[in-house]
Amino acid sequence: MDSLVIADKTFNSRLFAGTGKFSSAELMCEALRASETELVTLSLRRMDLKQGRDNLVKPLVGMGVNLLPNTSGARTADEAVFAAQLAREALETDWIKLEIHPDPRYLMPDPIETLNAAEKLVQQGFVVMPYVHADPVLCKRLEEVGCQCVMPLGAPIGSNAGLASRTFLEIIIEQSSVPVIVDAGIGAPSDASLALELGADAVLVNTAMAVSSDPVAMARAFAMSVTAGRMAYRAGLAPISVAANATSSLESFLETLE
Amino acid sequence: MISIKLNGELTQVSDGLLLEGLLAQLQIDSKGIALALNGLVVPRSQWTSRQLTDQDVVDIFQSIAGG
Repeated sequence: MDSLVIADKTFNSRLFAGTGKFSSAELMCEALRASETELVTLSLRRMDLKQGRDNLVKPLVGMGVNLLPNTSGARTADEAVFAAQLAREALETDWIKLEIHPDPRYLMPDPIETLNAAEKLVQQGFVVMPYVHADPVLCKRLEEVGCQCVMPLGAPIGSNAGLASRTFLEIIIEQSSVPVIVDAGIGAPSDASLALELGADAVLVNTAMAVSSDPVAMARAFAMSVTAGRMAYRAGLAPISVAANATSSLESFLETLE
Repeated sequence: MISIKLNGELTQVSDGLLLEGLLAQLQIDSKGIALALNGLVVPRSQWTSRQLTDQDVVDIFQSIAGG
């Protein structure tokens, strides 16, 4: 598969993965290895000092994957900038997945706060990867302020509802000069494949792998679907038409009967 | 001894304790950790030079699983 370049990094896998919701750290690592992903997301939270610490970073660094901290939990641009600065120190990376969702029921990203935060973070030298609604205007605005990619949603986070935003994703992909990574809502390998067939540069998957009854097998299935989707996109999909179009000529057979 | 607010809890520590020393006292491995002092993120490079003073508000953050 052709590689994907974002900022200073080159990826051979077009599958990015989240680390949430796995039943154990061991299973998470095994699934991530099976997915062949090279970029995995993490969150930051204030420590509960009375509880023991579960250090996720060590096994992930040991696997050789790149870490992408997110700003989840932030409700405003200022909170997101603070979260990004924390993440930069915690994980020693300038990469940040910018997500600001004040509403806990639908986790819809706030477009105004996201654009404001993106602009500030770009100025502070971050590689900004904003999670947004599938809004073509917003995606262009984010690109203009210097985001290195855009991450429009397929459907609400954790919903597994697939590419509900397909029409708008297609516009975003057609217009974008930066990589488009479809994030959220991808519930099945076929959704991931479709996103890549449409020309998305990558997908980010978490829940669909983590909550599967066999996360390792599901991760492998996602790896294959992303490869297939990208290959199909590069090969060029055949056009869709309403009328039938015979795959072989019927004429000579009919003539024999006359 | 001075009094600081550490992750929301009032705590007594020795005067002039470095941030690095605080982590060591708490037996926290610094990998994957971030620190904020009085609401501002402290760069890792300053953990060995920043001393705590009375009434400081310290917050320690860790990386957790997420999407």
